[in-house]
Amino acid sequence: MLDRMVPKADLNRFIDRLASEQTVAAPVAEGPSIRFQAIRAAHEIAEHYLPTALPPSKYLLPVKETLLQFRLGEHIEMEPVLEAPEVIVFGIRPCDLHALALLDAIFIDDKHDGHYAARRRRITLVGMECLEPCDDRCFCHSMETLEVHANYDLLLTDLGDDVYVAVGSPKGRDLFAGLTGAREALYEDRTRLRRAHEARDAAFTPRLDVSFDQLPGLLAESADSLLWDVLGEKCLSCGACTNVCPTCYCFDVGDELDLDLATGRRYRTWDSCQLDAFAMVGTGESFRKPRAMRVKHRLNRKGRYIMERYGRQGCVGCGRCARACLVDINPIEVFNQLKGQPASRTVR
Amino acid sequence: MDGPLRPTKRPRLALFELASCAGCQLQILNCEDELVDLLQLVEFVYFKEAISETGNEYDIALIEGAVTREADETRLRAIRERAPLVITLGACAHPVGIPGLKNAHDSEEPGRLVYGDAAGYFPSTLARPVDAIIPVDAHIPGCPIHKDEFLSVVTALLVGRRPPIPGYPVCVECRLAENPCAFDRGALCLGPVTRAGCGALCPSYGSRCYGCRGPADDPNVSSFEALLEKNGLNAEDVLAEYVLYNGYRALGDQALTMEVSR
Ligand code: SF4
Ligand code: SF4
Ligand code: SF4
Ligand code: SF4
Ligand code: SF4
Repeated sequence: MLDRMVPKADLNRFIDRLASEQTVAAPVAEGPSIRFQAIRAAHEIAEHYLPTALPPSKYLLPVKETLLQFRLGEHIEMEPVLEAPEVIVFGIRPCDLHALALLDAIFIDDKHDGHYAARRRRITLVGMECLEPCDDRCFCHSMETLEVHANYDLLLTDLGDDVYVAVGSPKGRDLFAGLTGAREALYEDRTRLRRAHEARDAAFTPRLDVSFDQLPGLLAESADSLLWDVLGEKCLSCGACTNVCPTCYCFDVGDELDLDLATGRRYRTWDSCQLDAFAMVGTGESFRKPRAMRVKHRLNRKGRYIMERYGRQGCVGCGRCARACLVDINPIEVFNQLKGQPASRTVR
Repeated sequence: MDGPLRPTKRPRLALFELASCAGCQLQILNCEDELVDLLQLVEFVYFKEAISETGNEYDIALIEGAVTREADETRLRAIRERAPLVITLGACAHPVGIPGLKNAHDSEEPGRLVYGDAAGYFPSTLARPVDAIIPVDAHIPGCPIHKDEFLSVVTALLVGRRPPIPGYPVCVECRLAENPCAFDRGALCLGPVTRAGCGALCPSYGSRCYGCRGPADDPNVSSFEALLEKNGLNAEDVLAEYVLYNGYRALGDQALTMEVSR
């Protein structure tokens, strides 16, 4: 599909119009916290932004979502609840686009989740490229998630006064059709884009001492590392790291019963493998009671299990977990330390 | 109102008050929209703030307030003998809340401050949670309790389910609410060791958690205390953090590790 070039001022007017006609969500800075939320005009969008507090996956897997309504009686009556609002999610960073591609692979291609799929159909993804590292916690470059080649409707690159718009789908093309001031991208525009990418690649330095596809092997070798015990002593089991992670998707399912003790709702909410009750079974035993096991499980999910199962990065290097962790558990350091001392073993 | 889970006979609830501000009882009265439905499910036989008649037979005893007198202990034992289920309401009853503040003082001093020369007529003990005296079946945490949580616990008990009170810390709800973290602005917060369920109410309004819902099920206290010390607190300051709502625990329970020298 043909890429476009548009002056920034025209793009902003276009966003203003879109936001007045439909739901446009974008990163908005409120004090120190940046969140995806509905905007009314382009000027509300944060200019330079770190990855948002919660990832954009909240539009596909809401923090709490009703799955069905029921009425108890001689026969239980159930009715699915499918809410899938149209939302244009604007300004998604490359790391998050990779994470959404993983969620699509899990919730659509592998297990068809009706609720996820319905929402996904109504969401338009407008990405925004990063031309420099967002801070010293990010390691997207090392996870090879900085470059995006698929799974967006539009992908924007800020080239100063102009914005380069890569069109990724018919939906993106149609959305953009209404934009005045845009023109087809020409050879020299592509050259400008390539130069911007070259400058970007020079601005990112490798953060990991292993390549991302060596992580599964490294983690498999490190199953008995002493490091897990050290991290287990520190971890507060606060669940911050998993809640903010764009590739985390575990949920819990529960029922709410009304005071008539007959009608109610079944819902799902985000859950976290770092919490005590996550691996607890009906009889009260937990399969991952020690904190060290929980931390090890999370980092293995991120660096190994997801890669082994879906062939995609289970961590996209966004650094959110490291920013959120009050005791500085940072995947860059964990992976590098394992690389540096694979032989440290503990007897358990 | 014809659900199959509806009990054939309405369970009788009695609400007893120990040292407290009665704020938790008021939360129950605050269930204005739900009261009519609630009263179809349960019957209140003793509720000082709301009804005058008293009953001596009840199925569920709700207890608000901390134990601060010897007479409270006798009363609690009598209640436990009658009630198949005992549930505490609020921070005073568990883990000891505001009444526990006095535990940090010399035992005579609070009485003198409040009653002056008459202090001798009001003997009082260390403030203790209800479960220090009698076994308790469930705690509804908070200062005050939240009416929705009260209603969901009552509904759960009526249909024989475990009360849906989270065991994880406040940070979980705080991050889901996308709040900026108090630690990032140099403030302190008890969220990492405090039981969630309030929706991270205080951090959501720009404040921090003071621990009113008591400790989470599995707090990493030593790492949390190291975090507070890294943020410039000494051992005494760390203890002062717990005293507001968790005074009894901080003094008498190994769950919180600090030693106190009075
Ligand atoms: S954010 Fe840090 S302390 Fe909290 S659960 Fe994750 S690793 Fe543990
Ligand atoms: S593990 Fe951490 S760095 Fe990796 S994707 Fe999740 S939040 Fe981002
Ligand atoms: S981690 Fe990389 S892709 Fe994600 S926001 Fe930071 S610089 Fe951009
Ligand atoms: S403000 Fe408090 S409750 Fe919220 S994340 Fe920070 S420590 Fe946890
Ligand atoms: S944030 Fe903390 S102090 Fe505030 S209501 Fe919740 S538990 Fe209580």
